[in-house]
Amino acid sequence: MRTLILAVLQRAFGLAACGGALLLGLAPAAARPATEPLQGPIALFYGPDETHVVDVGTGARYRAEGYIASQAGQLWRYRVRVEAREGPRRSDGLRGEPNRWSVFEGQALGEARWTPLVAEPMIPALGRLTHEQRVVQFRGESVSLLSLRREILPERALYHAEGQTLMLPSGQPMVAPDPGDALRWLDAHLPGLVDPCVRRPAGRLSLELAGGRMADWLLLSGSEPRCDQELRGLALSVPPPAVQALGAAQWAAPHFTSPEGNRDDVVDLRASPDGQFALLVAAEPGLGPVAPERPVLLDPFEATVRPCAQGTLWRWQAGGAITQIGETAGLTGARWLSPDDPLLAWLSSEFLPLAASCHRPVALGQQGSGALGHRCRIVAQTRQWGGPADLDAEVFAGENGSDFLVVVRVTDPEHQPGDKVRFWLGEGRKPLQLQVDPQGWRILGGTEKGLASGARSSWKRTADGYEATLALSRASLGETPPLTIRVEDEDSEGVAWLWAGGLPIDSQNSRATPCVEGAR
Amino acid sequence: MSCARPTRPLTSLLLGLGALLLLAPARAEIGPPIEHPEFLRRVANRLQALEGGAAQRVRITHFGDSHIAADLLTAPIRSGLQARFGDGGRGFLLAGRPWAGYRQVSMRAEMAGLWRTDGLRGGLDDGWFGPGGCSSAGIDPTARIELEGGGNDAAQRFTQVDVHFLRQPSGGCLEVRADGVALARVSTAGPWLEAGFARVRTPEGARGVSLHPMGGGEVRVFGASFEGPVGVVWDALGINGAHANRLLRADADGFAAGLSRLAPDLVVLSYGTNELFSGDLDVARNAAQMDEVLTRIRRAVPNADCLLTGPPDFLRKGKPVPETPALYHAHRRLAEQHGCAFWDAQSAMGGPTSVKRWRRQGLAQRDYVHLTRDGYVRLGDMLLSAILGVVDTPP
Repeated sequence: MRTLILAVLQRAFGLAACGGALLLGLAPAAARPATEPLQGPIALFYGPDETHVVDVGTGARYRAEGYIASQAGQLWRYRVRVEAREGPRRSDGLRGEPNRWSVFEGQALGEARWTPLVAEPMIPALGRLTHEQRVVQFRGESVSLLSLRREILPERALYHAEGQTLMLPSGQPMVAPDPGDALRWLDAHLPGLVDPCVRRPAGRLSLELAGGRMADWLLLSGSEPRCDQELRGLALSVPPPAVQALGAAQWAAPHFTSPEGNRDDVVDLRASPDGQFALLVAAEPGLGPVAPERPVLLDPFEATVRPCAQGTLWRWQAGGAITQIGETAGLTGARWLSPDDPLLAWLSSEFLPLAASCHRPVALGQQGSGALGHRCRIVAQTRQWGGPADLDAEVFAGENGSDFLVVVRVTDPEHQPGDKVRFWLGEGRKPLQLQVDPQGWRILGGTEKGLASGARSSWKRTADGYEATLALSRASLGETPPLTIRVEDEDSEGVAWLWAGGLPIDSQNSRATPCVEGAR
Repeated sequence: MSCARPTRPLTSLLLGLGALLLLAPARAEIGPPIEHPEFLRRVANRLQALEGGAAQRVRITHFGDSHIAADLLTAPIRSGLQARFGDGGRGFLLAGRPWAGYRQVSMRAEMAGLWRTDGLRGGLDDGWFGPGGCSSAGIDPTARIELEGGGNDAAQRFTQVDVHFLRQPSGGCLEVRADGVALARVSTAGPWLEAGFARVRTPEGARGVSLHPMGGGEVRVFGASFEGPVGVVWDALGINGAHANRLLRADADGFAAGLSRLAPDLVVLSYGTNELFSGDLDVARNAAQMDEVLTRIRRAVPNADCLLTGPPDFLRKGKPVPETPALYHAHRRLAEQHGCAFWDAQSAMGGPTSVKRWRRQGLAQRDYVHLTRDGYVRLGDMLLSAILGVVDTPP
């Protein structure tokens, strides 16, 4: 059992929302932002389990959870799925050991089936297993994975680390590994570099470095108990840093030289095909697309995983100024997208617009009113969600005299009698559940019915949907309790839900909860 | 008071004393003594040394079911010990509010944004839950967990916070803040799954900390321990509905690492109510599971003393549970085998069916299983008296 509490509406309006707009009274002061027309050029970045699209012309940025890529006209989504399973029950009747593993898998967008791209491990009869897939770098057309396996047996622990680069969406290894040959070559040419502790070939990994250069590493792992956790990478090929010129400026990592002055914090630069723009990542060396360019990676994992290394994303226009777009967290795999790339057709439905300040929650003012969320989470029950023009909502909260008001402004062009908004108020096993629909409001369940004492509601049509308002007595509420909202949209094709805030306390819905993010 | 302890402003001291008066027993409750008090000698000596001015922290980590989760039974013991021996901090708190009713005395927890709870029903059951038995995982940079580990004078009760988290291949960046100011950024990434820790010094006057995923992957937090330099810490690590074998669901190494990090001087185990209530208790199997639990705890913290408490008296469908004596017998025997002391909570209440009298006196709830706040305070006072009886008895 769990509770997931709305990011806002807690503790006397200790609100924190992303880009919230202030509101006084019933009517929302700010209209829901529409996705702006793309100006281009368009760049695509990947971060850990996320995809970013940047309209470099306007500086607008969009984010989607998971890895989304277009291949051969088809859009694909990729993820690392974590699984856990108890081992066999022991002979003395005690429970088996917990095992955990993860699988990298892909799904054609719009289809329900996920296809595993790496094999699922065998669960040991004795002992316990963890077998993790780490995405070292996702680049759209390929992905580099580290596979880290640890088996705790009654007598000893076994460690096994491997790496590989897979073509997508097929999952075929990009480079057919021939580690034996490579190891022999290294022994012959660079014997001093091969640590005697790590002589077991552990695969071949391709990584994209700053400026889009591809480099290959041979991974070596331990082959005996005293060093079987060790992992090393020996560079098979590392292209030299290229000098990239853009107008009067040029960049050769890590030095960016421009008429405005020289900077040595630019760790990556990607010029647009027309040579008019460049995207820059500024950070401490080692962030994201930059990997050490030494022949030996002492530890490939440590070299590529630096989650606390923050960077900033900048737009540079030839002959113009450098302007900051926003923050990055290990963004890699930058690509320039052609205007007809199929991924852009999904921008409005799969991505959220991301304001530059979005990673910094905005504390709302003393009035305690604000826009709480925008397109928080869509759950298509029996039909496909058609994007924000099909179903979308903003939630506003505020005080009006002695009332606490929640206004849900819904975009829903196909209005049906079954449309309604549900509210879960409070905590505990049975929070107060209310429904607002064109007929008014009513209590559906819950134990704290006193919270609804003196409640009122309104329902009015708008040009593109409707607006449902629930007014609750501040005196009855006391301290503002957690709130969860679900917009239930019925149309001729089926039902879709939109959640805002935490999910209600329900063991069936314990895994996922919506975000409060994205209002620009 | 030892001169090594930090000085406190008078107002805070008065507030603290006020809070203690609310929680401290109005009179000593006399219950059964600790059985095999010799097994609590080490922690008793440590408490005596603390009282004698030793600048040290004495920690008791208490695992259990709903009787412990609410902290109503443990709060009077904590406040009683801290009133006499000094306040070493609020101890370990779960990461936010993993379930709706998670509330304990002298703490505040809030969660905002996108978090996944693992270790409870519906979550990921992978054995990585930390000492508290459940965890909160988040990736959303606008999400946060807020934890305050004290009462009115919270700022005076801890000087550091030790954050427990999962180190994992897809681990992201975790930022620890106090009053909005970043104290530390911690990478939770690592090649192998393992328990990770980040001990952060807190600024003077801080009431708590907030935890923020900062991108780069999932951040999975087990909880945070609020600690001061000197005095007693009592962790109340209960989960509603828990059986003792819940501890066996944890990854053995991860559990050991977390418990070892807490470094308790005494581990208390309070289970049995849910096992008896289930109606299908196999006492032999339960004893085997408890044996395994004790073995794991002994392995994790070999120098800690250990105390088992039998379940409080309760009724199932209005009647006493016939397996209760057998479970008590098995747990007493196990305690002795593992060098643990034992305390009989059922006798403390007055023996079998005494819960009916407690109900009439307003000390037990209508379910005849759980106690009221006053009931838990009375039972906690009796356990406190029993522990102090050991401390005050010369070896």
